[in-house]
Amino acid sequence: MVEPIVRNKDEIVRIKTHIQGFDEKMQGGIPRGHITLIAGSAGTMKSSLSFNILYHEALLNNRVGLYLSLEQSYSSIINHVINMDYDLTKINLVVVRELSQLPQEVEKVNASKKGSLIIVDIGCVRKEIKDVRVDENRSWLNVLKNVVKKIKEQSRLDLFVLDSMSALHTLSKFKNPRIEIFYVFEFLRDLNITSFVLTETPLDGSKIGDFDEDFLSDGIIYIRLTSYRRKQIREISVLKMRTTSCDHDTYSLEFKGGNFVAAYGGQNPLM
Amino acid sequence: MGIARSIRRAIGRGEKTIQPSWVLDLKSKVLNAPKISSYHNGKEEVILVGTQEGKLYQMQSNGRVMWTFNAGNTLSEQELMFVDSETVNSINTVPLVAMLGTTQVILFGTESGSLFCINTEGKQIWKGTTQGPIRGQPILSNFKGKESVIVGSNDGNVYLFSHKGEIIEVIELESPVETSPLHTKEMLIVGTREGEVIAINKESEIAWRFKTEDRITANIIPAILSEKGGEVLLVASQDNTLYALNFEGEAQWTFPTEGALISEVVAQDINGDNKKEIIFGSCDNKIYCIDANGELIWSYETDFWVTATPIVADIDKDGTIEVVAGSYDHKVYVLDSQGDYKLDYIPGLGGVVNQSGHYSNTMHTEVGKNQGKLFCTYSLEGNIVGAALSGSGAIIANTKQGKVYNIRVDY
Repeated sequence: MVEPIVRNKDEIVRIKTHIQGFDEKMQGGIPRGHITLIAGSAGTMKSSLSFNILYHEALLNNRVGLYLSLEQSYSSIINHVINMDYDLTKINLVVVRELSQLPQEVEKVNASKKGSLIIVDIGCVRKEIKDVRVDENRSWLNVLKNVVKKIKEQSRLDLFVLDSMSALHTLSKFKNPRIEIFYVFEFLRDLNITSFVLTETPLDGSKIGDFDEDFLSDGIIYIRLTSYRRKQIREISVLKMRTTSCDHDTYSLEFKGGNFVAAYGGQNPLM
Repeated sequence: MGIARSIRRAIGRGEKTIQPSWVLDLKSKVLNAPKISSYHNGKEEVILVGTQEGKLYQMQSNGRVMWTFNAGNTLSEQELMFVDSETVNSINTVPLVAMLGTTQVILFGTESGSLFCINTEGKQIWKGTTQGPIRGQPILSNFKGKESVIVGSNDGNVYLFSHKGEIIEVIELESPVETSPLHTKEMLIVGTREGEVIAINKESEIAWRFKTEDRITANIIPAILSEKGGEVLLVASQDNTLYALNFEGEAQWTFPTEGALISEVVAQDINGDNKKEIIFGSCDNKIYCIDANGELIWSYETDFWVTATPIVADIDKDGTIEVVAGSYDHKVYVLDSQGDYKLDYIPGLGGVVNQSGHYSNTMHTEVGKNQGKLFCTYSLEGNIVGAALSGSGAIIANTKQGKVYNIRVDY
């Protein structure tokens, strides 16, 4: 599906990141249908931040989001966010542990009046299918595409988180990663869903994306850890956001009172 | 060459025109050429076309669909999640029509790794299974002393099936096979996704390997190019190069282009000099005609990739051979097989000349050489992925978007 052309900028629908003090720095959020990289080294809360978007969009805007985890198990994710004080009873949480159960799980989305957050745990699926004959080179990429497509076709799907691109590369053993990832991005664009692709960066932030995904994506939100004396501070900035006038300042990223907050834009918070 | 023909050549374009006869929309992508075959000792000509959704259509020469065979889904729900749902059942091989004993059958492979044997009424006789996509046409051959159906698979093996569909032997190559096997000089020769040409001897051992720089999807063609030149294997690779190999797997010459070579070449004597010329398309948008030594005779530039194997035949029965090539630019080109001679250097004219039919109508060429000469062209709706010539002289052309055209060149 080709991205619709708007008549004026007010018609551009934006998806909030639900980070206080951050959305207003990019005209209210990320344009719907964009593919945004959430890039950062280990420990920068990429997964939590993307979960935060899906949770609040389900809670406040009745949207359906899919969280595809290639690394972390569903129980680990759920325990982690409960510990962060997310009240999962307020949304329709659906967990897919077996691919064969996907139609039944999707039915739960259709039956619920609440917004939904679907977690697909590929780790569980890997155990489930160990005897299935598959072409090892392409199969996990096809799982990603088929899961997304089936949910989109059989229910509705507004938001998608891939956690992570690095794990997908490892699992799928891409022969030509740049071309494969180009087609993954094209596939997501054709479905007209707003996607967040998590990608690992080196600790020094020397590069974002190993396979040109920074060029292919519509937006990049970069989170980094900065050492200050004996503290580690998370900092967030928008490196790129198409169709958006944004403030590229670096903000401190904090999680307090159950909310992400971006503060001290353009300033050193500790001075 | 007749006087009238000479006059026509002298005055430039011929008067050939292309007329459409019928078009059929199969409503699914088509990725290969049609197969035109005769049943009942040549009394009945049929057209076979396989689609990406896994259906094989048999049509009469007037375009009426006689039957459809659904290669269907052979995978479980779980397995289906691991494959590309749009292409899993795709029929990417041109079907083989052959006699198995006394029965005329149609053999073709699918992307899910199945080899189907069906009768000419579209009923399944047997189905064989490999563990990877089948992308090359099966062959029927007597490689191991008994006739068998031989097919290469992307699982890295070559399979020999009995007439009843039982696996007789699996020859392990550990390189995904993309082409139809060629049985020649007591060897089976295949091209692989890794860019290798692999020759297998009768003991099922690898006799030799030849490495190109990219995938080989074009069938390997044996050809005696000239009386002196001996027999060679013509290997078109996606590394942009055409290789002529001897039967020990050594390159005799190469012909580089600037685009990938997707489909097999045609080797045919087009000018009566008892040497075969080689005609093929490239993803550098050109159709090439080269001589038996790998030297360019002429080329013709279209506006997009040429992935389909050209038809080289006297399609309008005027006594001379034409080259018909379909391009991704949606057009069928009918070219003079001998090209058009450009004069040597004339002061003031330089090296920029017209190429009739080309979008810019100018191109750079070396003076004193032949260049492609267009007779006529016809636009179809879609990228042309394959074409074949029927016994009645009609061109059957498939487009990627799933349309089958019957067009005729009038003279």
